[in-house]
Amino acid sequence: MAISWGHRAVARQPLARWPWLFWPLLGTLAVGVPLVAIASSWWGPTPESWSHIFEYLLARYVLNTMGVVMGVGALSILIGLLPAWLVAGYDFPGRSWLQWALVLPLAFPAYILALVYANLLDSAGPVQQAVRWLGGYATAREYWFPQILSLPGVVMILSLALYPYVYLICRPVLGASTRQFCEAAQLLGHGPWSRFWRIELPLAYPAIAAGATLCMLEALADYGSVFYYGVDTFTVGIYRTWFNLGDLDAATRLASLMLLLVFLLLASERWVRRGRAEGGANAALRAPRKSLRGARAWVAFGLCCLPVLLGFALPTVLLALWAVEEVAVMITPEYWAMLLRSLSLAAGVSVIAVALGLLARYAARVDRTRAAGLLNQVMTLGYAIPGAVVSVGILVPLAAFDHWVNDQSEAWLGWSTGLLLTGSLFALGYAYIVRFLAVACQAIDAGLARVPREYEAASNALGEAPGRTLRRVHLPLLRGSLLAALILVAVDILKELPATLILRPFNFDTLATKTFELAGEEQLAAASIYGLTLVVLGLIPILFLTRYLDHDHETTSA
Amino acid sequence: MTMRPPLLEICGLRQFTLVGVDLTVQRGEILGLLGKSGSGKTTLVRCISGVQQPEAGSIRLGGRQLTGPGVCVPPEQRGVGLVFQQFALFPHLTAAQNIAFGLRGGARREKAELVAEQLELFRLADLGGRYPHQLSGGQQQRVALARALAPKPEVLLLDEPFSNLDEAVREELRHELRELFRVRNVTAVIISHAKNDAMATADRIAFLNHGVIEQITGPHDAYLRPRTPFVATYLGPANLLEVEAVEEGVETDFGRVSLSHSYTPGTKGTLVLRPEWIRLTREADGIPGLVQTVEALGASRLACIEVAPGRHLQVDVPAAECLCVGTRIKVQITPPSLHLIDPQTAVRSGHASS
Repeated sequence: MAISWGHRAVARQPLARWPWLFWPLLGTLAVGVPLVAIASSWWGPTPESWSHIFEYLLARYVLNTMGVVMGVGALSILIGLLPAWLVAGYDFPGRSWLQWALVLPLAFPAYILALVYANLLDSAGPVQQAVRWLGGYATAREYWFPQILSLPGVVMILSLALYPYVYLICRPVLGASTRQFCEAAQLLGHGPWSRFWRIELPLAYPAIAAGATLCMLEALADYGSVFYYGVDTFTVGIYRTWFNLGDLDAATRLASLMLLLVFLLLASERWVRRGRAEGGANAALRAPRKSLRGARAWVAFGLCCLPVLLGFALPTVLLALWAVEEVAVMITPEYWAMLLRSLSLAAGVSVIAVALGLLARYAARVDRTRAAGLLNQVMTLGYAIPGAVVSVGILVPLAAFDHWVNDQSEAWLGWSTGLLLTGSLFALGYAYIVRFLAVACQAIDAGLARVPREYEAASNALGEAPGRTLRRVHLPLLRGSLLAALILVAVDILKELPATLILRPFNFDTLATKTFELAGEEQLAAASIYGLTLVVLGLIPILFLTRYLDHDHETTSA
Repeated sequence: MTMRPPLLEICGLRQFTLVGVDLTVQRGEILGLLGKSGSGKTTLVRCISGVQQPEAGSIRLGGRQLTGPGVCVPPEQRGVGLVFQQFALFPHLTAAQNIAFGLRGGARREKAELVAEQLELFRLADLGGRYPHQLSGGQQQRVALARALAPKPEVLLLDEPFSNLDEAVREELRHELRELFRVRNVTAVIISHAKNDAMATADRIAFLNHGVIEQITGPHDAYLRPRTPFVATYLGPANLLEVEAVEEGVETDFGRVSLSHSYTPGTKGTLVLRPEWIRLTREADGIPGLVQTVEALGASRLACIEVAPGRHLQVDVPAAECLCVGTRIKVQITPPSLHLIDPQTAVRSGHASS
């Protein structure tokens, strides 16, 4: 009997496996369509407003974008690397909670941080009021104060919001994990200074590059803060070209240039990593942390506190203070309706994204051909593509489809279908999936890595086809990872701004767009309430992260 | 033993599991440090190299105090080389750059020549440009050795240098190392848990057990005259018999055994009998026993013989000799010398007299 089971499994496998390729193919297609749409913008006729943009605006977009991206790259390394180095290598008071508190700024969408600091530091804000009161000045013109609504202001805001990427990625390759290399260097006659420059830093280069690249990609994608601070970058340009000039083709061309920047960033990260082996990954080389005492310990504590204070604690307190003024007026049925709408949209789309991610990742395990692996890689490219670019890339083919359907319908049936896809939530959901499929896949990969392939073989040998194996073996085992994936994707969707602004149906507001709008209308209290809601929701995935941080020194996990 | 002052001198070293270690190493000597995992070998080496500070004790190298009351020379100023168990080759540097890492000051050309010389010496001449992850385990080990030796340390410490290598590479490297150290007059401390590695490479072996050094002596002497049961069993199978010396032999719990060596009558202790010191005999005065198990080892077989109820002897039987489980045989005990381990760990040894 055992033999007959075996026969059945073997005979069915090639047939049963191959439809699985459909899922990664679908994912790749989803990501590929907007990319192709954007690239093809150069083939058509020159859009009408292009010459105007090219002549008067493009240089500004390029310079500002470069300024923001480079600035954020450098400053986020500056802010994120030092605490990572301290937390990884040394023990000092507060280290155990600082090591996860340093991640908290990730809960802040950058545009909310921008809102907070603009209101804190502009000429009407409390800081300058205090300056005037202390200095006895009557107006803001009588003294010098750094202008927060500027490119350096944006760089500071984005770096404060994004440095945790550098921190998170660099921490595991610094300190204790490089201790043995440092000891080897020490025995070969190198002092602490030389060791830092010749061992610790070079070993961390790939991690620093990876962290900074993530920050720079996010900075490139940012729309809320740059718009709010009046720094015209590509995202602002795309948005303006589409909404103010109504020229989708020109917007698409701008998007294609932005895409070029994305690939440039990814390529330069590759270049930094070239030929380098990952440093410090060897768990056997780990050594205990060094204890800091006295003044040094407090300096370390202070240096680690600063980013948490500026990137999380202070803005949260300020938001709460501003919100409390009108909390009774603002927590209305409208607020709850908005919250419910945003949450259900995020939840619904994240279920689809996670399902697609799971099916595609599982397909790569069932079908171990190179095609499956390659498709799975392409599928997750969306994380690097700015929301504004994705939206424009989706808008082009979907609008064409909508118009075609409408024309056909009018011609044959005599009535208008309206905008079927671009006028509904379909386009927005699609953009979210393209953008955050990678987030889902990452969480799923983490879970799948803990499911040995032998389980599949065992299940197959017991007569279960891949589909039923997924349901009976993997789904129960992956429950935790799938929940994490759902929450991570949902919260990312809640915070997403540029794509939502471009693709939302008319008069459809989410928490993010409402916060942004209210901030633009200088309705500080109302904006604070919505912003604070987003920050609280943003804390949920951080809880997952801290669990990971607590366990990351143990090699095994449950 | 010798009038020369020792190169490395360790007194009363205490840290974690180490409870007072005394150790001296002569210039040009290869000392093996043998002990089970957890016995404190690595801690000892980390203390000598200075990456760890001991609770108490002193370490002197070439007459210079490295560690002691109020003294702690930082590792980079000690002149101690260390080869790590996992090699710890810098992953971002090539083999040649790794080797050059410890060469400080001096002209660039001079350094390059030194590196080339080291590469040549360790048969790595073509591999200088490779990164560690592009090298095999044995090659990585040789780079690690070359890197540690390049700055010409006064003493070279090797932490389990053979444990990450497979058997064939291991044997080759052991041989190479011994030759190299001898030719270059390198003073080395080789840490190992494997007796073969220590026996094959070391001039003297220090046995570390439960944080103390139980014996320091040459490999051959340690095999013949172990001072403690730990040393006796670590170097190979041994029958340990509680005996009392009598005229012309010893009194055991399975009867009197007559031996060709004598010992002061009345002395009590543990008799160390290697399996190859017992042989099958047809003589009438042989000790009768029952063959219980036979284990093939290749050139010989290891038999377990019950000589009294619950009392077994391990006997080395030549492969050619016929031996079946369940047969009754007689054995004769013929040790090269009579050596008793004193129960109070003090050592007395009786040498062949007749």
